[in-house]
Amino acid sequence: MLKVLAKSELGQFLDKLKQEFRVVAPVRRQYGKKERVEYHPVENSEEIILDSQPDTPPKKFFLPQNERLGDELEGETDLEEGEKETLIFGVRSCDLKAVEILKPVFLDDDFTDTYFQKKLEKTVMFGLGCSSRQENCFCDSLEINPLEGKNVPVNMYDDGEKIWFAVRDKELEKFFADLPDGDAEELEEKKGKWQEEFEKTAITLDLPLPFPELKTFEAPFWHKVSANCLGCGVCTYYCPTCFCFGFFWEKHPEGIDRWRTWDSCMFPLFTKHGGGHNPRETQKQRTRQRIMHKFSYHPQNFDGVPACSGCGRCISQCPVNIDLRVILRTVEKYLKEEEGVKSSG
Amino acid sequence: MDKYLLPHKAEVMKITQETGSNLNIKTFRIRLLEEEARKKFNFYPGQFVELTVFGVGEAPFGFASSPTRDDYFDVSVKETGLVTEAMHNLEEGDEIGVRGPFGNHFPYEEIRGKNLVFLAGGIGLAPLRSLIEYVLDEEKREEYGRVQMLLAFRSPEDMLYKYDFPRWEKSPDTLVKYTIDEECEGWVHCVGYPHDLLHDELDLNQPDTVFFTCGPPIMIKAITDELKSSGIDPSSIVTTLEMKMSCGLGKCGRCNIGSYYVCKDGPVFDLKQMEKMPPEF
Amino acid sequence: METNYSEISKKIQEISRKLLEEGRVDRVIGFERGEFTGEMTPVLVTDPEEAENLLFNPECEMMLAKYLLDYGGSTTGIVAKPCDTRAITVYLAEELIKRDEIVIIGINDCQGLEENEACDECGVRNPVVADEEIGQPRQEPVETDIKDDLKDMSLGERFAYFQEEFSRCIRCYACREACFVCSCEECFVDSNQPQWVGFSVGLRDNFTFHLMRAMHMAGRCINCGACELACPEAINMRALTRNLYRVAQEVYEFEPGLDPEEKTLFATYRLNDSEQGFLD
Repeated sequence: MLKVLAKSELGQFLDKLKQEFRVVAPVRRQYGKKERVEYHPVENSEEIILDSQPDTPPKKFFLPQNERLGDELEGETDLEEGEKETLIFGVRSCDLKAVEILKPVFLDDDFTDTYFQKKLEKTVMFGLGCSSRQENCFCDSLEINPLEGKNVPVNMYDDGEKIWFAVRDKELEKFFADLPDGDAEELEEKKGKWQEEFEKTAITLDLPLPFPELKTFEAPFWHKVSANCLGCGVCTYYCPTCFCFGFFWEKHPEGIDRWRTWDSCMFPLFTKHGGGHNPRETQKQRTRQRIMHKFSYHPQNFDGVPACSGCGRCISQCPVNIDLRVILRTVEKYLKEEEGVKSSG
Repeated sequence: MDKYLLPHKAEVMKITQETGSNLNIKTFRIRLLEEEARKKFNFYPGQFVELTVFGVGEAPFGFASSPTRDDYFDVSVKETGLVTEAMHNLEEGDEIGVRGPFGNHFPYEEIRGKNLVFLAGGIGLAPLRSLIEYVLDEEKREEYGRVQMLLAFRSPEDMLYKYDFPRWEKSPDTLVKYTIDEECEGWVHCVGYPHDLLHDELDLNQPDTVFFTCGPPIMIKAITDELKSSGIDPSSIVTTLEMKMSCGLGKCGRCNIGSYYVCKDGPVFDLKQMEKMPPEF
Repeated sequence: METNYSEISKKIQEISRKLLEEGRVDRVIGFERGEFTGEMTPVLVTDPEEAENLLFNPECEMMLAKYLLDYGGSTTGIVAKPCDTRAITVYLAEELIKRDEIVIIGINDCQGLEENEACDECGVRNPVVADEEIGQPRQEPVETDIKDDLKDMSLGERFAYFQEEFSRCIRCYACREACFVCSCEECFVDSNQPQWVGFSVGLRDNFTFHLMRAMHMAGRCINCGACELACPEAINMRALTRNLYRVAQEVYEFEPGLDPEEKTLFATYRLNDSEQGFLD
């Protein structure tokens, strides 16, 4: 089913969805001088921004920065039954892929994480095909199609005037029944143009995944690529796939709760033992861990899939503009040269 | 809460002050309170538990006792941080939380019939004690070959499990040696670092020997290097790594070394595996 | 006269190349343009051939002085805006770096940065200390005022304001890491014995972090704005530190980072020091 909606009618359409879902979408927020796009529950459809990548990924809906896990001994959980399902309206391919990357981590057979699982089960995502490259994104260099979100019941496109809905789920068709049909050829034509635009601006990355562990680990370039790193946690906290966490305990009048909170491999405290020893003491080691975890260790454990979906947020948000693409190119170049030395020598 | 995250209620049965000079180490004997949970709680030497001091937090500790004592387990705790400090303030009879057991274990079955050498440094003896007690258990002793130990401590005051040593020494076909970092008055045993001493103090020429080592990271590195350069097969050198394990489920990321999560894929590794890992422990 | 940034960049390149070639420094810290981002990023140059990548323009917003702390025991050249030289001056006063281990390539007549609101409050337009100077120093003084935006707020309003700001904090510590004052070997946040700040990102712990950090800033913060530039959540934390700066200036006639011989505000006591606190 292919339907179109004039953007001026978005408000009415969302009202329909809101009867059944808690609708969350990228909306514009102003903080001082800074304008940001973030996922928030929609109050007014005019604040929805579909032509700009949200500054924060939708990860928080499955893995909130602070999550109450329940009483430390009794263990009841926070989730209220009967809560409306969340509909995230307009999730780009990179962020959809990121959720796919998180799934096997939290839904493994050994230790299924029911917090993540329940939140995921209570969430529907409408994909949003990208009609233009966003600041610093490179999903297409990681074999992700920016135009075609995977595993979503509805994939949308925003051509500036209207929103197209490719509806793939029978149960959701009722919401779209009143809308006029879209012309599939017209959409294909538009997609073709967008596709061309992406191809023109693509960066080719020829990454051997997973990165060969020891060879890459011991490479000499790590100091250079980490020398300007401040050691903050921005890249990991804005990453749609970074999932490292810690626990903390909080007392309240009725008892003590266990909470889960994001943590970051970029912080020295992350690995520092109580006794003072730290296996990753230097920034070089920690930067290397972040890159190696994403492109060597994770793909080793998860069918060759890197823990990166090329959204580019770590680049856009970095206070010193460190560029993951530059680091990846450096690794690529180094490994190629090593390979060359080996085969010629 | 997910069952893996929900601790069992347990009771501190006994607290033994092991050392009190420059390092403060206590050994806690812990028993799960619910009988049902106690029955299901099976651990193997080399595994670890997460202990919760209620309202404070959680920290990982290797089992320091043999699973053949099926009513309780021991952990030894050095006072270093928030949780360990809170543990040291506990009294006998206090309640704590127990999550686990987690991780892999020493190959206690594969090493049947083999000769064993234990090389321990300080509190690194704790996880080895679990295996030592297991193989020296009267019912198990004859299943294993010769047992040799070189136990290193900073000073005589820093020795832990002193009350076990006479029993270990008396066990059949067992040799126990002790060393401290620096000469001191009244000390009749070895002086020096274990990697320098092991050739002179132990008989390393026995065939079919498996080496177990645990201690500060620097000691583990020195010993494994020494053993390897003496021609010992890396797969016969076994160690247990200490990282800052937290979730125990291979997810939270703290204990990640290369493609391994120490809490799930370890903490026990042989040198053959470790040589393929980034040296980041 | 319009500032000629390509001329400044060229000078930086020449000087850096020379310093590296002659072995006077082991590295030069400056700025280059990112290959894909097109944005300015700090870079460490060790090879004289790479000196040609060094650039300077009003987009060079990051403070570079903090990188000096990583390279004690060797020699480092640093491209320094006037604010960087103030930071260096504080480091010299606190003996965190050695004067003979650094070569300061100072930029005269700073015009301020595009993005940085703090520049509007800064009157220091020439380097405080430099070994090499680029451009003509500005002669006429620049009159600026430190914004006193809390003055007209009641205590309740102030609290509400900071509540709003700090509620957005995700505790990524970008502000701390970008701040040259935050040079402690172990930040109080990272101490677990005792634990000063909880791990949660709730308002209580966020307040603790920002207030405790601000307390460490008094008399050392030079109001450079690096914290706010680094903050991905656009938190106006200078509302705290800027006012501490202003109070130190008004009450103690103290401005940090202008004289390496002058001790920091809290390391000195004069009998006639005012007893005034922050809240009056």
